[in-house]
Amino acid sequence: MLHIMNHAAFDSAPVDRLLSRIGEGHTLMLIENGVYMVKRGSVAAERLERSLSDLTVCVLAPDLAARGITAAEVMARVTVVDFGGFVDLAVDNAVIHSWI
Amino acid sequence: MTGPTKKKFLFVMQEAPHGSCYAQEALDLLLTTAAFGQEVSVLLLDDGVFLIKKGQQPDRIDSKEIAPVFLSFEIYDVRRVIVEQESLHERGLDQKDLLLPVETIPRCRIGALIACHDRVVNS
Amino acid sequence: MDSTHTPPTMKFAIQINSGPYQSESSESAYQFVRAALRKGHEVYRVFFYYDGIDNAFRYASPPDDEKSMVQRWSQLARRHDIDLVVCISAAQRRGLLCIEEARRVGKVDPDLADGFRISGLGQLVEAAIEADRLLVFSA
Repeated sequence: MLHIMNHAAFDSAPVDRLLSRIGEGHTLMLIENGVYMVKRGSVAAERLERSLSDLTVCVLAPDLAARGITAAEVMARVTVVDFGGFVDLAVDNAVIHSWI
Repeated sequence: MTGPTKKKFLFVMQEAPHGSCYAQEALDLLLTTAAFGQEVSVLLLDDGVFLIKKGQQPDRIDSKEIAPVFLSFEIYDVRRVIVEQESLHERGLDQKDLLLPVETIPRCRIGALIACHDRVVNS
Repeated sequence: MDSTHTPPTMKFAIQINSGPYQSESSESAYQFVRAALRKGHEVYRVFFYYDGIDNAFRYASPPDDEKSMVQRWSQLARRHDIDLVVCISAAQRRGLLCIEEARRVGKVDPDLADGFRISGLGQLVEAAIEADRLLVFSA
């Protein structure tokens, strides 16, 4: 299953809440302001990193670039995709949920 | 609609009833989906649990009634209203504060629940 | 994604819940639709709901150095014959009227931009049933 998140949270509570609601083996696609969560050294990135054994994290390249987050600033083991890659993820996952 | 076109829809509602017109329009979509003969379930998360709090008087702020729509679900064959336990407790609510009996599930099972539907609609 | 990845052709239904000046979601949805078309997929319908109906205002007139989301949708509909549907109840609530409705209430101009049509919520439900995937873009 594919979860789409388009806003960022840096307090541990909302990040943990999101991660608890994502099932094992699911994929999290971060778009729009959601991409800030992969910023290396952030509370969000730290939490995401700890969940990577259960979860695949993808992030949208143009949204990263627009916000000045360089490849070096992106946490490890995150897949950076363009819109074509986003479409492929939507093809590969029959169930898709966009969090608000 | 028959056989193969029948899909399992899940409406994930996370917004409180009266701060915006979101709930009203979300319920319009939900009831339309049910009228198409689809299998419809509702999941209330976060402030969405306030949608079914007892004693709402929206006429005091000239707003339309939202909660009674949930009481009409049976007519529309909307079978399941599921509420996240943590969302209830965090808001100081209990089953007895709610307008209708609901299924509660813990946060850690939300992902698995969503994943067993065909179409997920947020609101 | 590697080059050996050749996914099957799919039908997408897209729901847009937010306006172009409210959030980035119209932009994301537009780029997603273009990428899906480039990959040979079908976009069964784009449905505008809630404040998403703001994408269909004919007279939205941003300054020249800004993109016009409305024009981009109209152009996309023209080029790729995409069905852009605006929810009638959401539109009427917010004062977006098609020509027939505008005439009925004694208004002179149609508000709806080219390439869009106004219809009921059933069009969204039908698209969600008929398409292989439903993607929701919200604020």
